[in-house]
Amino acid sequence: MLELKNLTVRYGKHLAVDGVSFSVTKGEAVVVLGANGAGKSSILKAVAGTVALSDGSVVLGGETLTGIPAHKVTNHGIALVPEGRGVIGRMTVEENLRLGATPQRARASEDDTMAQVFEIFPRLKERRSQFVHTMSGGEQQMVAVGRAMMSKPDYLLLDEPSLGLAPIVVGDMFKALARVRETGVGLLIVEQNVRISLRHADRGYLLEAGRITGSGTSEELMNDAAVRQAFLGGDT
Amino acid sequence: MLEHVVNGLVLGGTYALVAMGLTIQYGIARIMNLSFGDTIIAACFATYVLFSVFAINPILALLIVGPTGYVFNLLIYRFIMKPLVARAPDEGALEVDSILVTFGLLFVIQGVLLVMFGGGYTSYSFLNSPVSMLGTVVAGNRLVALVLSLTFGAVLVGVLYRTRWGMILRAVATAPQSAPLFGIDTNRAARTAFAVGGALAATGGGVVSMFQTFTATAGVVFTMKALIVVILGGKGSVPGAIVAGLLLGLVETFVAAYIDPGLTLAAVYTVFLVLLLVRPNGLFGKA
Repeated sequence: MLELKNLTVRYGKHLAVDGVSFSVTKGEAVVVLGANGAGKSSILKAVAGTVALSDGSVVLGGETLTGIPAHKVTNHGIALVPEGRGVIGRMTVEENLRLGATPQRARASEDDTMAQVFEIFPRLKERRSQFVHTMSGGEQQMVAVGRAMMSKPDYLLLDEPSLGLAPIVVGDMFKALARVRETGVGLLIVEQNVRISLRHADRGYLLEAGRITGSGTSEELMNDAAVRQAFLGGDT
Repeated sequence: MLEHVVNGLVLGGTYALVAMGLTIQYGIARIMNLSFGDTIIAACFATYVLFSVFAINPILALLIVGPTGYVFNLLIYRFIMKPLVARAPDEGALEVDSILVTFGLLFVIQGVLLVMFGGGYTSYSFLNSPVSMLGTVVAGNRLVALVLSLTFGAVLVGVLYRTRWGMILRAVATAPQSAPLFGIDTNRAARTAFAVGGALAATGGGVVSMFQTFTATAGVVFTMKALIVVILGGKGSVPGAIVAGLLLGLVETFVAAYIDPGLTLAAVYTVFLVLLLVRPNGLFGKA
């Protein structure tokens, strides 16, 4: 289980995340919904170790990860696909994937995992020698998710995977994520695209100004008046 | 004509060899090492001592000088650069700090060399017999230098583009922010890159000493030349450093031969200026 306990992130005096607590289990998909600037990305960054916590802790399977540098967090089985994708544009698809298997835990099964990635994203197999910066946004997002899978994560953190993608591509991306989840990986997704993310998630949390203001199963949230008001245009 | 091509390639090959080290230090470790040329000169003297005092073949001496350069630069990184890296808020600050510190280091190394060897020109005679090649005559030592430079260049490119270790270094060079998400320890990569750059500087020095005279104060000339090559080729790009190094060597030789030897530096800077106007990030630089 991945537990966030009283997670708090400050940038100087600005309080970005204010005492957030929740947990994700393996094979489960949890979505955090919130507007721009609500602190969604900061939560993921704090879990992945790319920003420091000012209070609280991240506990993975009973082990506290707080204070561990980002490159070591990956070896504990947490992979972040950041906003802007975090792929290496001037390298090929295959190089990005192989680099993704840098953590020790992923080395032995590198080729098997790559076959699995190619099965979920056949496009990447076709384009394995192509430079990533020459690819479309949707394809780059596939590389980003594939790269994260290569580290053999137990938990995959995704920062707005739908951002900047055409609706049909977003649908394909979420279908692919559902397949990743079937392999037993826990998904923690932060999104603004409420409809599609709730359709693919088990549970969700609402985040406003760094605090959790609501939670429930996807179905409950979908029918929640406040969610409809805030995210779905207020229509009935 | 052919003679000038060969001489240009010899000169360019050594430019490429030393610039590879600087581009790795600057592009991956993000440290602008102004004492780089002085490492080269120290290696020149070391090779000279190994040859003239201990009668060790300069080519074999590279096996001593290169690893020594690695260890020396590892120690510099560990004790001088590491605190700077730790406190630098961003890449720009690290660059400024490292320029100031290595500027000081330059004079320390130079001072030690001046005390040990004096300020005069030094050289030794190694394989100084003419070799006929492609219808022209070249000094044997120059030919050896060219072969060594190209070999080291090819090996380095092979390592960078064919091994995981090389992939990691390239990832840190082009995407330092994303690298940790791949599980890459960027601090370790930077330390290794700095040490490898030092090993290349030392190896380059050993090769240069086989055919050129050198003085304790000539380090800054090498630093400047290497810096031009690095910027021409694109910061952090080893293939760029090789191409730009060879290009610079050829330009210098041809200008000296056909126009006026006094214009070599002017020609170098003209090429530098024109290329930067056309490609501000260098030949192989990222946009």
